[in-house]
Amino acid sequence: MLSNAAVGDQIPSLRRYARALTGNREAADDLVQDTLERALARSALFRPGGNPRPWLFTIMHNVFVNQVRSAASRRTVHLDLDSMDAAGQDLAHQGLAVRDIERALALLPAEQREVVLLVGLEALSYADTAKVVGVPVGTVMSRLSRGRERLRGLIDGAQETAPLKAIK
Amino acid sequence: MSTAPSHEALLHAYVDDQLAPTERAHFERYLVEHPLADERVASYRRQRELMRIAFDAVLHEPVPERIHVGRHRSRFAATWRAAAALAWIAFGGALGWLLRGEFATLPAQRAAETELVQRARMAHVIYTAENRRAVEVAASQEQDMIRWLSKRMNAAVRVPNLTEFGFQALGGRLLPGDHGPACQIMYQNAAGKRLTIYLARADGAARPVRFGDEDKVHVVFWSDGTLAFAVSGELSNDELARIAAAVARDSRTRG
Repeated sequence: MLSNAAVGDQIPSLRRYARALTGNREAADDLVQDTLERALARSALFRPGGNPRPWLFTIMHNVFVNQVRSAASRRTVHLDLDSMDAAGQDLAHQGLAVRDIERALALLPAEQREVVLLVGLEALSYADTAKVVGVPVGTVMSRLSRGRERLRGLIDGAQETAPLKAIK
Repeated sequence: MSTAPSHEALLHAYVDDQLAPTERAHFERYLVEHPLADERVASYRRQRELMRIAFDAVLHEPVPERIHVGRHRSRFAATWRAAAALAWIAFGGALGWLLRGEFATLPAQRAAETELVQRARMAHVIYTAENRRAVEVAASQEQDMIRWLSKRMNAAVRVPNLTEFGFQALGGRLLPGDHGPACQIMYQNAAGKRLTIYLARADGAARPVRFGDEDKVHVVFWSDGTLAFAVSGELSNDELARIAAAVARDSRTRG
């Protein structure tokens, strides 16, 4: 059984992760509330002596994936790599904006964004991250690698494009 | 990816401090001979730093009322809560009247301050890491820079002399702020350590000097009513406070 206090302790960090993941305050707090309700409903399944942190992040991952899936079935927006690169190029012309990590994160595919944030922001181990998103550690590593490299292109890439603009 | 998969995994584990000390030392030797990998390590660390600057503020926000762990509250609890809320409103009203004007804008002010500190810190991390493009206008054209920044900021911007602390002005840049333009003036000392002053339009009220949340990059901030100031650097709070005092002194001679 999981105590309310143990769950409550994790709320600030669940909110931080949700905010970074969704990029939106309202959506993030909805995600947190849905996660807490589901956690409460399943608290009997929590292994005594277990760590509530990865357990709660796992529940949040499942809620998030369901939300993304149902949103995707409603809208038929397909973001392929080319259109994401185009969006990145647009950002590159807005000066500081491209270096704005929030916007760069929003351009990552959700599965890469999750891993980059769980490891980088929430400091989860690779093993815990693998459990949270339900994939092998090797998959976590490749998502982390692609996600970080993509962020690097979006954030640091502006340094390469800026001098070109200045020449004309 | 140009490196072998094993190196790739090691590189991330190194960035995330998940290597044992011997592996770590081993990988550091590898990095010395592989500048491209070293560059990636630096970039990934900066990403992590920026993420924390962008999102750690959420940790300190009050949790909204609609987020709570328990679902069912008894009717008694609801009534009690309503009564307690009324009592607080009455108390708040009385307190508000007693402290007229003093703290009336506290939540909005705190949000604005968090925003200022966050933006100043973010701009500090991003631009102090730059070599060739650290500033838009070099301090060598100081008069030009002052004219330009003052015009855009619609306020007299000064470049305080910080040589008594060993810092020389490198130059400045204009930045997008929340309420109109903001700007950053960068300094560097002989050891290559950098310090930035971030300026944004203030809301009219003067605010005392305060320190931002604990972080690698320390921030001290205040407002003179016209401009809000935030001085950032990887310095001790003591050092930073002395520098901030000099900046504030200098800005008071503005005219």
